[in-house]
Amino acid sequence: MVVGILSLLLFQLLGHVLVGAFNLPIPPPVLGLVLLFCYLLVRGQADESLVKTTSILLPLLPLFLIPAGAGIVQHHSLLANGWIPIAVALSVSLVASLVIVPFVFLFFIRLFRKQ
Amino acid sequence: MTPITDLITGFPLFGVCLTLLAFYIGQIIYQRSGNFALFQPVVTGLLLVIACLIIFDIPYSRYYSSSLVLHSLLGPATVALAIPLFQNAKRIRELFLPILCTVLVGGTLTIIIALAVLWMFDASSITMLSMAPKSITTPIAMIVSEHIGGLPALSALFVLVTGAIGAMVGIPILNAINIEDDGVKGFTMGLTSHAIGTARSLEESPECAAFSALAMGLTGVATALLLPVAVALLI
Repeated sequence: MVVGILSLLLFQLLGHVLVGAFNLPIPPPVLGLVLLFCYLLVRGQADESLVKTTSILLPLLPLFLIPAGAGIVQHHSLLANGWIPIAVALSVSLVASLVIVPFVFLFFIRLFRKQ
Repeated sequence: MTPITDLITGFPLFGVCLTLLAFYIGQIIYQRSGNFALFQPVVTGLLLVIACLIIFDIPYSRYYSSSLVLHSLLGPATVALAIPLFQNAKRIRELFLPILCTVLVGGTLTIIIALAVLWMFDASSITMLSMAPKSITTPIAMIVSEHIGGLPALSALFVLVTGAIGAMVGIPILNAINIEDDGVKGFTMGLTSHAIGTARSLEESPECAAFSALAMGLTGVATALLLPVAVALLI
């Protein structure tokens, strides 16, 4: 568990340092994700402690979004005028994408399989 | 604030308590409803926290600073998404080209539909610019929004609402249109509903979560790189 959480933090730190040093337009944890993924590919297997930590941490990911999400209370005035177009735009585009994207994906899978 | 709320909210871990309690209530409601899609614990939890802040007149800064521990864990949890990704590396490698093409086509499509609807309603350009990065993970969305001239706070709100709705209706819609492959399901969830969609995909299977994390990451990076270019060309 200790080794697992430490590995995650070290990869996040590495992402943090690289983003800062090269002024990259990527959030440090996303770069950390990519780096850890590459490390695992090279290594060929994931440590037991890393897998265990992940199985505890990942199901709680939505919980970690709540503190920042509640920041909405500060910006409600931005929505006071014209929230209807926004609500329509968000739901229509989301539902349309949910219906279209799987078929686009399946289309490309078939297309590249033929070649 | 009354003296007693002032005292309670002065507890350094007040925000952690409130968030955990709200999320726990959300989990109970979700279980009691037989995992009914509309009662996502994160949505119920978020609404309960917001209701609490408004009813008891608690400043957001006080809640945020005392729940910072939970917020800080978002970083390592994001890094941890590399594990399901790695566990499904073989299938992802086989589908590499379809994945890349779908990210480009699907990511563009979701932005164009949203902007077309706003345009029909004659919405302001600042709303449209803030809406463009709505399907990508919050930190990237805020950076992109600022870069193209939108309002980062507004974008963050759009991202959260999109993710919350996606977590609620995503899997039921995909089941309704007979998508059975967990990879395709997860990929669609990650592309449209970023981190919240990925968290919802975890309930389906590790494969679903892996494809969702992959789609979330790729869509985020592709949008961050291409959207500023597209905006510069169009305006």
